[in-house]
Amino acid sequence: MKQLLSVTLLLSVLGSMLVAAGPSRTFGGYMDTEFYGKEGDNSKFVAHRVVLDFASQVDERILFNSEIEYEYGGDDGNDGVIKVEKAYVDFKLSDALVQRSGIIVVPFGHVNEYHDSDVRDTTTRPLYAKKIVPTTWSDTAFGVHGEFDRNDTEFKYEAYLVNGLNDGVTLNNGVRSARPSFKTDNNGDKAFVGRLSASPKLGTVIGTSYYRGAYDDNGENTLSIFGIDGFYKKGRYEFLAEYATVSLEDSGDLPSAMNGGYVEVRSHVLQDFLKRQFSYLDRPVITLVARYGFVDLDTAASETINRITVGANFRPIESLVYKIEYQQDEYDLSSNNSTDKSVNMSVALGF
Amino acid sequence: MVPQCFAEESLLFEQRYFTVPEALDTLFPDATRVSSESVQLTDADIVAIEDALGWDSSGGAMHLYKAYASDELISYAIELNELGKYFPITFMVKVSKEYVVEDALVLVYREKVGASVRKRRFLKQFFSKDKTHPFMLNLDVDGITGATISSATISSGIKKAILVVEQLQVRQLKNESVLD
Repeated sequence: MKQLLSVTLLLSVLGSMLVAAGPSRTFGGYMDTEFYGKEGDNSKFVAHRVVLDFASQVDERILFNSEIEYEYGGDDGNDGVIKVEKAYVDFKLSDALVQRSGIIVVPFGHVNEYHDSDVRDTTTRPLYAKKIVPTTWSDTAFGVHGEFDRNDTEFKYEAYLVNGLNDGVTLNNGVRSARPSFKTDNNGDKAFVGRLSASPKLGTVIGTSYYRGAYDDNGENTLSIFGIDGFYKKGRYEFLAEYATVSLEDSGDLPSAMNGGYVEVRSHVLQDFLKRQFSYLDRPVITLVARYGFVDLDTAASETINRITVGANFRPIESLVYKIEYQQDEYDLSSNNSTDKSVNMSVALGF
Repeated sequence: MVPQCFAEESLLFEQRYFTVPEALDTLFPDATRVSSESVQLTDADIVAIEDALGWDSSGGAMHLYKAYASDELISYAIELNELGKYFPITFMVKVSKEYVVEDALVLVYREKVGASVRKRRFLKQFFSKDKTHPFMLNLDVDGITGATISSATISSGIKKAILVVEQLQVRQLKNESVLD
């Protein structure tokens, strides 16, 4: 019933927009369907995401932007969930100063910002982006962002006050279970999160991100995350790396420090060959991807998981991608010393 | 083809960076005179251009500008409106008499993200390219992360500009030859 109501509401809103005059609006999104074949486990298709993106420029300086995600069909009886990933209003004073309020995708690192399935080149995200920087990480925020150029260098920044991560940090799941509610804050302390990036030339970006806020119910102990990332692109080759470290004050039974990161190399190949084979396609391309990543969920005890991912994907057009990859997770934990091997595939479309 | 789910046309998304006179002044600082003509591609023109481009291209009316210094033709410019993710991007490409890209400017950008394609650091990678270059993202053109479709639109549009200018001049020379 909840699904029916939400779809009906969406259609009625869209219908009214078709005849409404005034603000310009866009409606799009992305979807993906995944296949997981893990050694020793049942293979499965996963209808992971349908994400609807709606934006409205209600004034020259005021933009509403949103993303509503239906995961696993959205039916909670079927492990599904419907959630707002972002819903904010931007009040643009200038390119260098934009005030943003609402639910934001927290500006931490590269993957969290560019997390859309049709943008990513692999089915799964790095472990770093699951347990250390818990993508997709959203929070209710008030703050500013902007960009400015100095000579040929492009600078971007974001800085927000948010409710912040809570005391859900675990040894198994890292920071992932500490993602905040949009309704309550487990303490009165507001957290700060910010990101600064510089792009000295086209295709080269270095960035740093920082988060700090109390995580316990009393608001006395701080969780901080510091991250750095770099992206380099030249012609058919791309190189991406991220690293972040987590510190918890007075963590008790929890680890006091965690870290994680990855390096990823991509190469776009066979454009000319594919263009000859599929002349009706504008810009078909195959991308080869290799990534090594790790997380250490308790640096004092070295609770480490390493992940190697090697794969390829085919894009008949920019926004449609067919992905396949081999993934190997090596657990070096006090509770687990095993290796998981899987072949993952997915199809993702941006629309 | 680019994905296009739903978009309402409106002036509100428009970010205007240059008017046409400002763009012409910027592209042709040494010109003593700039002529303007509205041109219409024929079906034969479009077929020839698409064959050279390697992908579909829209026709329609467009403006061709010719810059002169002391009555000598020095360069061309063509104004294009090419579809981005939702809305057309209006840009002008300066092409030499040898059909080489000399400059480019984005006049109007209408998407909510990706306006970085207007910046010199993106556009200058096209300068000195001619029609023999592929103009393909991740091959000889670097796109902008988060603005891939707009990057592709500008890239393919600039190659189209070269071919349109050449096609129009070839057509004009043929007509003059017939008249002779």
